[in-house]
Amino acid sequence: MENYKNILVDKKRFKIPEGYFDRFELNNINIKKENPRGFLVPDYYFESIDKQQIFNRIYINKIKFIKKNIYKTLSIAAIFIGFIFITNYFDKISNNINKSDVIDYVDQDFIIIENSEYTEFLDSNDLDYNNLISDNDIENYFIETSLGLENLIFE
Amino acid sequence: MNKEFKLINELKDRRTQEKAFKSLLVQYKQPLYWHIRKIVLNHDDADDVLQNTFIKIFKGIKKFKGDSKLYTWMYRIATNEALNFLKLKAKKYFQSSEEMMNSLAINLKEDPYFDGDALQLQLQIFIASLPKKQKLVFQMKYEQNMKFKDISEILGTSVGALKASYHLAVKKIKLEIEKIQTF
Repeated sequence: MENYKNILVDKKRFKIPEGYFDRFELNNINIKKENPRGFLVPDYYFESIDKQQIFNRIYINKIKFIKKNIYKTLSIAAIFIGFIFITNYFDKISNNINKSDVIDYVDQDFIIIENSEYTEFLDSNDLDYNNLISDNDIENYFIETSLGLENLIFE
Repeated sequence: MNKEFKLINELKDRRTQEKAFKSLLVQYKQPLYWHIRKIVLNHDDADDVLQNTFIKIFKGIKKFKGDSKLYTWMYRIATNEALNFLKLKAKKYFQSSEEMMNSLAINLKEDPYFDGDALQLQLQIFIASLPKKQKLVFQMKYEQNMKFKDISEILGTSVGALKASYHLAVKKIKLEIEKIQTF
């Protein structure tokens, strides 16, 4: 049992020689390791990269970011203002209907209002009793038109 | 105080930032360029990615805590930038990453900034056809002679897994090149 335990913890059994993986090279192939790439860069390319170039790019990116945000904010603001304008506009339209327009509308029989409905709309204070037809007016009307009794009942 | 620690502190300090960044740029522009170039293959793309990498380094240095070496941290940014660039490029041309890598390697034939011979071109095509991790390990180990420990920090993979990947990559490339040479 003791020996069995020793076998399990004996990690050395699976060790590899030092630098085993590092030895895998392509030395036997006709490619020189000094320049395996064949890649070139334009003349003076590395000299052209300086901190100013990077800072300029950071600055341009910042401007782009600000511009993008301004456009976003402006478009959201425009939508908001448009929304407020439209809601106010329709509110104004509904408040601007004249009394005469309503009377005309009713008079043109677009809607039919029953007498009972008129009584709901009207207040007794709104009625002008001074302009009511007097008894004398009725009497004069009958005299002037000399209507017969039958006609009178019919009317 | 060691040099790297001093440089990091200078990069974080607003008063010394520009000067420190200049020296960082002088020191690392070439190795980072070649590292990126081997991933994206094309010079213009590499130039673009290199500038983005330095912008990210400049912006991100304040958050750098020093858990890893500055150089491996910068290589990690460069690797991620290059891989993201390729991903976006593949998306733009409605290609998979593998198709994109293959076409980039084939396009080297027409590239004015590639003067390799037929075998070197073929080697690039084979490297491009490797799985992403194998390709990165092969390039970093074989072409840049980096230590496995550093590659492990850059790619966030264990040293053992990296060694296995490198072993597989070398085996595949060796086999492919031997095939050509026997023709």
